[in-house]
This record gives sequence, structure tokens and C-alpha cells, in this order.
Amino acid sequence: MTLAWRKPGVVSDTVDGVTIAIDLDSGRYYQFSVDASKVLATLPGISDDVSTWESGGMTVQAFVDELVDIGLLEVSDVNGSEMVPEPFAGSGLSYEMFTDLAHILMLDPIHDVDPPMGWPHADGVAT
Amino acid sequence: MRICVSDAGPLTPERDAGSRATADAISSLRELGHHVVFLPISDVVDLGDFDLFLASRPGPAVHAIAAQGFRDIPTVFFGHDLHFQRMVVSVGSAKAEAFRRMEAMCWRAYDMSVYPSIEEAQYVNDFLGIDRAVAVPIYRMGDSNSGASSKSPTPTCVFVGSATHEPNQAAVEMLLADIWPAIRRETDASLQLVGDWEVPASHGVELGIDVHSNLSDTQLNDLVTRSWLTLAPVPFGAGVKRKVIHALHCGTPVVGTRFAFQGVLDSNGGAVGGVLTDDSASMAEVAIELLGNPGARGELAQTGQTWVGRHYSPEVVQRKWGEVIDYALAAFNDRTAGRTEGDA
Repeated sequence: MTLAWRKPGVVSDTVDGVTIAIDLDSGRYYQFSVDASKVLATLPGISDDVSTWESGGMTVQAFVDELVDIGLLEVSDVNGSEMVPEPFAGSGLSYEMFTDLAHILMLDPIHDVDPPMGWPHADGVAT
Repeated sequence: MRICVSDAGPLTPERDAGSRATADAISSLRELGHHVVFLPISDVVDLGDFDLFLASRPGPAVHAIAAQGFRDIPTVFFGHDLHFQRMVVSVGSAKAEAFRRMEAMCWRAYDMSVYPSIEEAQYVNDFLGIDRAVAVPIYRMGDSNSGASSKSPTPTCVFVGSATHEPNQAAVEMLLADIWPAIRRETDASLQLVGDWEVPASHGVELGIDVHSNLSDTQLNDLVTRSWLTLAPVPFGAGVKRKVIHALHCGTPVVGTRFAFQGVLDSNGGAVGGVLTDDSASMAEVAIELLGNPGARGELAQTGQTWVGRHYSPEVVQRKWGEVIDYALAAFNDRTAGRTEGDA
């Protein structure tokens, strides 16, 4: 599988072993589980041999298909050498998504406050 | 050097300290001889025309990472403060942790990061394991000085802060609920409240409170200079507070919390040009004591003004931004040299 983060709409990084990705078009912030981060660390060349690997009841193939469907990953023409993720720890192939960070991403989080509600608002988290 | 500076939108230096800090940075860079272009982040698509890019605040900084040419020029992330530390109070630890990772993405993606205090820069350097963050005094004091103003003949206290800033909202709540009524029971001082604050008219008359919604720089300088004390009961937050630096610059001692005095401490951990106390009752007691002690106020004022002159003069701020550019160029050269070797 030759997949990559969608360009130019997605930025990503791995911090403390946890991969994060931000969809700049929607403002959605994604934070991946440890096993999911291991899969994403192999981009852009995930080995076909691991497509049936499973963690938390989800296969790698199903996981990357979902990320393609939601627009985080796209088929890449970059020739990446096929890599195998580190062994899974059983954390599942999952992610948390924060939808209310879109506001923070575009505006000044210090000063643009809705006085009655305060900043940032406490709602809007989804997993 | 052609430098692109970007923030979330048009700067509003008359409204918020963050915009003022970015405007001050632009002034310093221009005085250093650079050609500076300001663009709102929505207009930052291709950085090919620039020699260096500076992103102000985390949101715009994240967006710019996707711009064409971002990796091809030296880049500077102006963080303003460690937002995640402040967010723990307002949104809880889970989102604050998410935001920490986003800020970490910026520290890693940019050649240099800039913060107002040594502690914040050190946090970033410890995280990265390499020195890629520096502390810069982000407020220039001295461009417009009201030095001619003298102190008010009657005891006057002042609080300055945007009403749209959550730590200020909490500070004013504490001030009006506990601190100020206690001070008024012992003194006939007035409170000058600067910002879009809503105080019931009867409350204002009874407690001697005047609200000033919109002040020019000159008016604000004059008001703070004429005040006997600045009260800063900021109960949480992060970063160096412009209201504190400005008060010290104007020769007005500050009575504030440890959050108010962040980055304004001497080598022994004591507050510079004021008194640090986190307790509302204690803050009122200290203010009452200082209002009755002109000698103590004078000593604190002199200490504060000397300290601000040493750390926040236009010359010092300009020199520090010059160093940031040099550091960014050096870090960029390290990065691209590594890339070339890696590609070979």
C-alpha cells in the first residue's frame, strides 16, 4: 500500500509516541492510539503483508481504508519502501477526534473569547 | 532579508497584548533593516518569495506548515505563551494534552521557537533535547512614554485587561467580589478599571470604580502612571503579562499573583517592582499598607523602572530579535546540511 497524508490539507507529527494529524480544511484534530501510531509510522509504504494484522478487533486494512474515507490519507505516487510496523501492544486501531479545536486553530486562543461562554467551549469532543 | 510575518488575521494592537507583541516584533525587525511583509494566515500559500517566515501563535503556525516552500526557508514560531498550561484550567487535561502535542508539532517543525520567559523556552528545549527555543522580551517599553505625568493626588489603583481574556475575567471577578471591597473599607482609594468591563452603576459609585473602555496609548500611559498601584489578581494563565511590564515601566508598583509575575522575578524568586501574593485577603492587606506608605511605593517603583529599562527597552528587544534571526539561520543551515547529506 502506498499511502500518504493528504497534501496540502493535512499536517501530522508523532509526539511522545502518539501520532496526531490536523485536517486544515475542517479543523478536525485527530489523536491516534499507540498501535495506530505504529501503523502510521510506516507511511508511505505500509507492507501488504500486514494488512490482515489486527488490534482491538480492527484490521490494518480496514483502519487505513477508514482514514482514506475521511480524507486524512490518500493514495500516493511516492515510492516508499514497504515497512512493517512494530509489534502491536493491543491498544486498538483507533483515534480521538476533537472538532472544537477548529476555532482555536484559526483564531487567537488568547483573546477571542465569547464572554458569556468563556474560551474554549467545553463541548464538541467526539471519539 | 525579506521576512513574512503571519498571524490569524489583521493585527489589533489596541485591543490585545498578543497583537501588540507581534506588532512590536515587526517594528524591531524593520529597524534591523529587514523588509517585513505581514500576511494573515489565510494568505500564506507559497513562501517562495521570502527569506524567512515568522508565525505568530499556534493556530497560524500549524496552518503554515502546509504552505509551499515552508521547509525551504528558515522559520520561527512565536508562541506567545505555553497555551496548554493555561488550558488545563479552562478545558481540562485531555484537551490541554492534545494542545500540548500540537504546540510540540510547532516546536519540531520550526527552526526556532520564541517565548517571553526563560522558563517557557527551557521547557521547549528540554522537550526537544536541543536548544531550539529562546526567550525574548516581547513587549517594547519606551516607544511612547508618558513620563511627564505625575501621581494622582488621591489614592488610585488600576487594573488593565481585555474583558475577552478568560484569566482577566476571573481576576476582575475576584477583585470586585473580595479584594476591592476590603480595600475600600480601609481607604478612600478609587479603582480605574480599563477594558470593556460591566460594573453596575450603583456598585461603581459605592466602591469608587471608574470603567475605561477605550483608551489611546497616551491615555493609558497617563492613567497607569498617575495610579499609585496596579492590582493584578490573575488566578491562572501563562506567559509574561503586558499589564505588569507596562505598570513597572510607568513607575507603578504591582500587587499581583504568581501568575501575574511570571517572568518578572529576581534571582531570589521575589517579585520585581511589586509584591507577590496569591491570597485575596492578603492582597487587600498589602495594597492597603502600600497605599499608606509612599516611601515603600517609591522604592518599588524605582526598582521596577530600572528592571524594565534593562530588559524591555526598544534597543534590548531589537537586539534580541536580531539574535532570533541569527539562531534561526544557523538552525536552518544545520537542518538543510543534514538533509543534503541524507539525500546524498
